[in-house]
Amino acid sequence: MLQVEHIYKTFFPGTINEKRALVDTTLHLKPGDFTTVIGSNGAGKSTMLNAIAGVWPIDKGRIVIDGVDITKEPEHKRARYIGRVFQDPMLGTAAGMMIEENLAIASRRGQFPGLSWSSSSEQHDRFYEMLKELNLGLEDRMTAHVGLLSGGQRQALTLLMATIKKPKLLLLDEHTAALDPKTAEKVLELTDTIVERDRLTTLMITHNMRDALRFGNRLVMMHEGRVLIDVDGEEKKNLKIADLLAMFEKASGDGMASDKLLLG
Amino acid sequence: MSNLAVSTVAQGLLWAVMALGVYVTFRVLDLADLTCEGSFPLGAATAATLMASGHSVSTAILAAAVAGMLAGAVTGFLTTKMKIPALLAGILTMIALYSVNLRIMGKANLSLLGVDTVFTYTQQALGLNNAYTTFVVGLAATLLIGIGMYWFFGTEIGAAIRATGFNQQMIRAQGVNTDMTIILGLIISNALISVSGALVGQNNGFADVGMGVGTIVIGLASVIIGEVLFGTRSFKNCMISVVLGSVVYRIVIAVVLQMGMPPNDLKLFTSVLVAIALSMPLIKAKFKGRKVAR
Repeated sequence: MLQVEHIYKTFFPGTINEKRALVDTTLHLKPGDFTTVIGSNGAGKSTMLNAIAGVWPIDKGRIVIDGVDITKEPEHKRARYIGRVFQDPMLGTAAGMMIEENLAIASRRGQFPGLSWSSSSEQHDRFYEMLKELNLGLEDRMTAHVGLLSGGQRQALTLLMATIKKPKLLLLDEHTAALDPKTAEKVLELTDTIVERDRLTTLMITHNMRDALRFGNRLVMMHEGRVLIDVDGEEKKNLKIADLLAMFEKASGDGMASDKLLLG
Repeated sequence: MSNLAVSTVAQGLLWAVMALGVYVTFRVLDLADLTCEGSFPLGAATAATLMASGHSVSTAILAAAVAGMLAGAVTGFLTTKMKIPALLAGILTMIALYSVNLRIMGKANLSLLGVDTVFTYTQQALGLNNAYTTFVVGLAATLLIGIGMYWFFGTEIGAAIRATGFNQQMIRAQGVNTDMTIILGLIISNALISVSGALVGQNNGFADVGMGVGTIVIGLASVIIGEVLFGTRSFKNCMISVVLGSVVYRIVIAVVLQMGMPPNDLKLFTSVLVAIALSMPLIKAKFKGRKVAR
């Protein structure tokens, strides 16, 4: 479903701030893979997601989604294939617009906007049912501005928006990191439900190793811009945090690094 | 009602079209566009030149709208494709339009004396006096444009433009090209401002190359006064607020002039008004903060 092939990205090349964020990064996802991504700060997790989403062009390499080479496509064109939820709950929704209006926009993700009326009554009923499934009471506040919602509610809504039109790839960039633990747990469970139900190919970055082990069928650890560890299936199911740390130390040859990984 | 009162409200309605244009950039797109200082006289110059050379009123107003669209498109191109900050892009277009307007008219001031305008036609048709004629034309223009805007910003593309103003990252992630929505927003805004210029020019009986000075401040004053007095609950509410804000602004101006303020101080007065209104949120927050601290 997703092929990331030997991609490179260097920020501020040729300056003292030069940062080689992605170095020969390669990752292949099968359809339906729910992959969690971990790694310490600066490992290149978010950079990889942004490269796939097309936030800026990459220096070298190739990105293919479902057989289509999207390496040269701008961000808004890639949105045809990709649903996204960001770390910052403010980024995924338009605060000054109603819940219903946000959902209407999301239901047309990747389509060129036309001149027909944005909201319709058939849509309204569909959105109502979908919001009801979130169990947050949002179905009765469809005409409320999104800016009035809490961070958790906004992330849940963004998640619904990212998946309302089934994406070929779902990118979750630490989408629970800015939430309190209880809300984060709720949003994570919701994520799991939606991904399982729609069999979505998903990349989920997390800072929390437990979550990375708990969710998904595959786990990827990044280090210094590369994919260092990649486990799936039974092996992933039986993996413990201690195993992960041992694997990491062996693969990176850095005894201190596991502390960084745990604390970072 | 006295003629002065009617004519004050009528002026407010004519200028409300311009205020709606400023609203599209300042609030909907969330960028300050100074192109309006040039597109307002551009509309007046285009319409006056065409009408003086015998073209119909409708052709003249339509041409003014198209000219405004072009002006907006230039600013949009500069700010999106060339990455020039919106404020600077607007200034560049505004300054360039000064020369363009002089070229269109061939001189700095073009009189419409003895030329039939939308106002003379309306007056002949309805048999009203000057003040009421202006009121009728202003009301018709504002209603027509207001309804058109309400429809447009409710469509898919209109919703995408509004979302661009709130959150560019979000609307790009939803597959919309924000360069396109910003350019489109600037085109619509400047078309409205240019049409307003065409109407005000006809009402004044002349087009002048300097008549755009202060357009942005008058527009902002209308938007802010309207929002404070009449609310911002929904898009429709906002539009009505802006129109009423423009009317209230004219009333305020009429009152202070009646009270003896020299007309030369008008722009100073308006700027101070807008500056105070724009600093209100900060002043309010400071005031509240102090109360809490106590």
